[in-house]
Amino acid sequence: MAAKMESRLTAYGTAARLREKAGLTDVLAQWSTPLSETGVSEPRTLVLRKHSLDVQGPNGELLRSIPRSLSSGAAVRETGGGAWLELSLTDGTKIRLAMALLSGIRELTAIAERIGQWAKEASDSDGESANGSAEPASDAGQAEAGAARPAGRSLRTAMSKRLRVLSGLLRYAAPYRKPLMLSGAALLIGVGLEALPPYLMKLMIDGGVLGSSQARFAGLIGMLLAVYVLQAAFQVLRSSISIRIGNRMISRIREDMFDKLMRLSVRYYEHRASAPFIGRIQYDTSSVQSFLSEGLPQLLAQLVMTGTVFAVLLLIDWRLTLWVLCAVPLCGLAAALLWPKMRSLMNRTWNVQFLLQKYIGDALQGVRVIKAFHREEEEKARFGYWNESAVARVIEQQRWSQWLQPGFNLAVSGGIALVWLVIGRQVIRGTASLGTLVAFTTYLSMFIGQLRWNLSLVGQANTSIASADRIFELLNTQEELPEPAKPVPLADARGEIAVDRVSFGYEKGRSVLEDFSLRIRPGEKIGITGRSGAGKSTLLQLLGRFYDPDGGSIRIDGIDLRTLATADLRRHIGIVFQETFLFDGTIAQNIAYGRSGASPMEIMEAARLARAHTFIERLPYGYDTLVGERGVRLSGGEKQRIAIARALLLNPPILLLDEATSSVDMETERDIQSALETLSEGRTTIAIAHRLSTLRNADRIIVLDRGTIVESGTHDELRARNGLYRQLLEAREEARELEEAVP
Amino acid sequence: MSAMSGMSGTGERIWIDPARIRFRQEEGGLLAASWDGRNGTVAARLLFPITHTDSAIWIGEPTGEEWGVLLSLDGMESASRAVLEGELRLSPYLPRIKRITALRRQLGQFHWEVATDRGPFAFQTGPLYEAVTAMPGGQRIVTDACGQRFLLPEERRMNGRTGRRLAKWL
Ligand SMILES: Nc1ncnc2c1ncn2[C@@H]1O[C@H](COP(=O)(O)OP(=O)(O)OP(=O)(O)O)[C@@H](O)[C@H]1O
Ligand SMILES: [Mg+2]
Repeated sequence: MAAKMESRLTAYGTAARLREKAGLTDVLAQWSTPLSETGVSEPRTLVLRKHSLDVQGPNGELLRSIPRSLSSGAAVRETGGGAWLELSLTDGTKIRLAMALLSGIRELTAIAERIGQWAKEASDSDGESANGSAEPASDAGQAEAGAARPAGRSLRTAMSKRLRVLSGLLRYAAPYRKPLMLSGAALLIGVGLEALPPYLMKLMIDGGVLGSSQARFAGLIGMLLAVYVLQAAFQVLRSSISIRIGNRMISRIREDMFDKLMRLSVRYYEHRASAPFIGRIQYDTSSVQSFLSEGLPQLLAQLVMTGTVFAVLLLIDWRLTLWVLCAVPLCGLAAALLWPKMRSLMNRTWNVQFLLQKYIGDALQGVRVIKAFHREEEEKARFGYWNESAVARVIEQQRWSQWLQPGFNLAVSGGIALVWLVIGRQVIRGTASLGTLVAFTTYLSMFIGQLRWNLSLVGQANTSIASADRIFELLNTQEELPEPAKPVPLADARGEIAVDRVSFGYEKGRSVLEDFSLRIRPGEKIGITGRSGAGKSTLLQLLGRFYDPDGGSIRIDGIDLRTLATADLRRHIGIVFQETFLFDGTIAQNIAYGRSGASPMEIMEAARLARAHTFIERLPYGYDTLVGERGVRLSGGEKQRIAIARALLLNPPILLLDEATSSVDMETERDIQSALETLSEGRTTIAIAHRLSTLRNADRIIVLDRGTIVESGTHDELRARNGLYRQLLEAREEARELEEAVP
Repeated sequence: MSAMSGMSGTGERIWIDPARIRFRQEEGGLLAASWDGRNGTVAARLLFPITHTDSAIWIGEPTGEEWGVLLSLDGMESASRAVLEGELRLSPYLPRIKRITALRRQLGQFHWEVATDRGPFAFQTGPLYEAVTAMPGGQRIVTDACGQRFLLPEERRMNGRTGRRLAKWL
């Protein structure tokens, strides 16, 4: 059969090619992908024509053509890391046509839908469909243009990015313009003062000591002393300014970083460990600070100094100075060669330190599990490994830089020896004074000293720029859930919820909710149940806009969540998450978390409604009991009840409860339930539960399975039906019987 | 083993004998198998796609119903084995990097050009400390800006130049 089919296909392909040659274009849609149907990196183009679907190779050659009359449908088959387009033929055969990478799945889905339609129309009527719009074709065109764009733009963006880092730093300096200018002035005067002493010495040697005039000698010494005192004074002034400004600036940068961390979506954190952020906020900023407040002014000072000294050298003996100058490009060259190596070493060191931090954070969070499984020794060994690698990288880095200093010193000594040789001969011959010799060599060593300083400052500057880079990388991270520019106000929500054809997946290529629709009337009590992993919590996360759906929309009172200000939305929604999280603080603080002005009365009332008051009020410190990090000092059920109280205190029109009472005993749960019922008059409530008794009184129970609604109705309706709910219920009952049977 | 099997709710795990299952490729490129009286299109997945690439292979209907698990490929007839291995390289789709031809950094963004067992790829990632994740056994996963993953073998399995390109940044 296969061979027969093959020949039919090829025959048709030839016909199509002939038509193309004749210039008859009947292209309905087109889609290109970088992968072949066997996953090899080789471009393929699907061309959907009126009467056939063609697959073209990298050079547009026709690889395969499938007549429309043989096609019956198309589907997207996701695999981890990509997806195929699978075409079904009328005889039941399936053909893998092409494969898309994750980035192409969206377009693949669009073209698959288009092909499905095309095939269906063929089987329906074989009729007219040319005006079925070539929309996907233009889509594909756009996508290609999109792919081509980054390459051409990358250089420009790189430049502008670097500028942005600099201007970003300068923006933080802007409020301190005046003190910074003052500091600059102090710097210039300081440099002038520093350049003076060797010249005074020359005068002293030539006119004072050699000229043996006591008074003049004493005068010069006095001047020298005065210069030193002034120098010290200006230095103090300058550093006091820069310390103040540097720290202020850094505090602003830290604030901005934390602000950004708060605004980033939960998805951002799903892919990142949290511990290294501590390091980033602390160390990256302090490295930038030390550069801004000390390094940068010093670098400027050194540069000015280098210039000044060089000018003086020229004045004293320009020919010799020019000779000396020849050495400068050599130093520059050496620095240029060494720098990339240093930079990569710095990067490597930083990376391992990042991993070390990540490891420590992970180990500390899991300390109970480590102890429970008695893995302390193994964890110590793992820590040792990361620690060792971090140390090895630092050693590597420092071993390289250790050569820099001695090398430079050697160059300096060589230069000075040379000068001694040249001017010394002139002094002997009488063409130069001893003072000149002393001044020149002093200036020269100053000059070279400056160069050395500059070199190390440049190193420091680069560390700081790398840090600044990381800081701005974070600050410029694109927010996945952007706040609308002009949010629609939501004054008092009635609590009507409309979920309209929503599809969503946490990762590309693996969808969790598929074409999901649900309408909830204001004040309705909805119960949701279903197997573990069905997508129940995911639905709540979408309702709270922790993620945006990939397709479709969610509206509250007719307003799309994406057009609401997040703060406005969250004010109307109280959420109790499946995993309870409490902050390190008192119970009262945790209950009042959503409303900082809450009075003790209100806190107590919320606690009472959540049936948390009994255990809280028995604690020696009552509502002021410290709960420890993540609430570790409380039991699972106690934590849950505090979380419920926290949501109730907010008094929101919409209440989302995700397994809110799963760790509480049945009796307490029933108690909380009745409290919730009186409380939830006119409040839209969505409660997720596995324990079906929790949902018994819901207006409507929705049963989810694999991201879709399989059943909905009241408890009694669903029980009567022979569906998943009944199945879940029976499993529960069975469990109960089992419990009862155990003596 | 017996303690474990007692825990599973839906009966014992079915292990497929590699000598008794046959794989073939259908005309449309899909994988088909015949085993134990069953015959037809199947889905095959590596259950440890990174750490064990020739054992623990899940076989089942395309709809998700399980036939059983192949514990190893030893003893499988060679044509079957070749077809199966071809399919496993697609699912999950995880190109294995053989060589890094270029790795450039432009302020935080890394531009990769690599040669893989599935041909050449070029992609972009964020900072390497976030983009490269170590897996047990020394291999690494590189995740690009779109979430696409690539397998980066252990350092010593790659040539010196690739190692040096990586060592510059990682
Ligand atoms: N943050 C995440 N990243 C990636 N996948 C996720 C994430 N959270 C959940 N999933 C996946 O999405 C699917 C639905 O998860 P969800 O939490 O909605 O299930 P659930 O119905 O609440 O289950 P349970 O009853 O166990 O709480 C699961 O297959 C899960 O593996
Ligand atoms: Mg859940």
